[in-house]
Amino acid sequence: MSDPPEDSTPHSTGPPDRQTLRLLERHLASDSLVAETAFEPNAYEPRLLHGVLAAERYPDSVTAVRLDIRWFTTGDFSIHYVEDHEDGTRWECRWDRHPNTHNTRLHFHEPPSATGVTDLDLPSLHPLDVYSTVLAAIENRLETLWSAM
Amino acid sequence: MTEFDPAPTSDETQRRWQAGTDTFGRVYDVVLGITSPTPYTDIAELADCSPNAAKKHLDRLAEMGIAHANSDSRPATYERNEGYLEWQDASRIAAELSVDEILDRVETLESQRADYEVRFGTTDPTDVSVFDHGDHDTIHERMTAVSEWQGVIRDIRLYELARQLSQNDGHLIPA
Repeated sequence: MSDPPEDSTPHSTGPPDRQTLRLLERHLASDSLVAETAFEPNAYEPRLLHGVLAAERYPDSVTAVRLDIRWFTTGDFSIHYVEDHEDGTRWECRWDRHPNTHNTRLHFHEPPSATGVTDLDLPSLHPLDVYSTVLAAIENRLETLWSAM
Repeated sequence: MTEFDPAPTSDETQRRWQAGTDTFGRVYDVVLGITSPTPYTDIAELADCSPNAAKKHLDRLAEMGIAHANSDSRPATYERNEGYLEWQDASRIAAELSVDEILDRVETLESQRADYEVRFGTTDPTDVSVFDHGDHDTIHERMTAVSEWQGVIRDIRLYELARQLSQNDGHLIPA
């Protein structure tokens, strides 16, 4: 269906998907969990979509939270979630889709350090569905943080 | 602490992006994320509407130039119209930046392009192997760099189109 063509392991990659990044920016900007969005290096050359999450939704021990999104014209992507904590530690994880030699093209870098990698399965690879899944997972993380207080 | 689930599934959370949008808005947003010919019945499923409603809105988006329709296939397939969206991007740049600002950006991008060419020892980013590395961090680093390089090349072309539009008062063809 809307899945990008699953070609036989490409050896290189494509440019950032400008239209998908703009689409995701529009949705992030209107999400209650997101305080601010920005493109890097700028809005005319969108390569990285940066979302600052609303710190007031988090316990005080969390000082800053961000979501960095890269989306490629090949249908590959990287969505990086990072929490900065008061004690100087980081809690991060990453939803990734790209060919590699040890995991499925779609995989997940596990928290708290994003070093452990596991295969991932999603019902749809449409950018908006991936976005919804990631935001839902972050909502669950928020609940876990509050219930651990 | 419970284990983190990267892909929670429930009807409520699955389609978070759909909140507060009408059917046309959902079909529009879905098609903007579609880069290969996709049957309208699948688009209807993604947009959570009836196949008939999806087709009606997709035909309208095709008339507007935003979607590309292939009516010969059964069922009809649709995808976003890259050419139209590129023109729209260039048009926005032409409206918001001066010709001098555009030329400045191109100069910066051309020097970035030259840096990438030196770094990877080729002028063609598709020559560079990105994914045949065992080390995951290396793959990521190379994926980001080569993609940004491709982005630089494409943005130079886009600014070139924007410059033409700007110099022709927003028209592609001089009056």
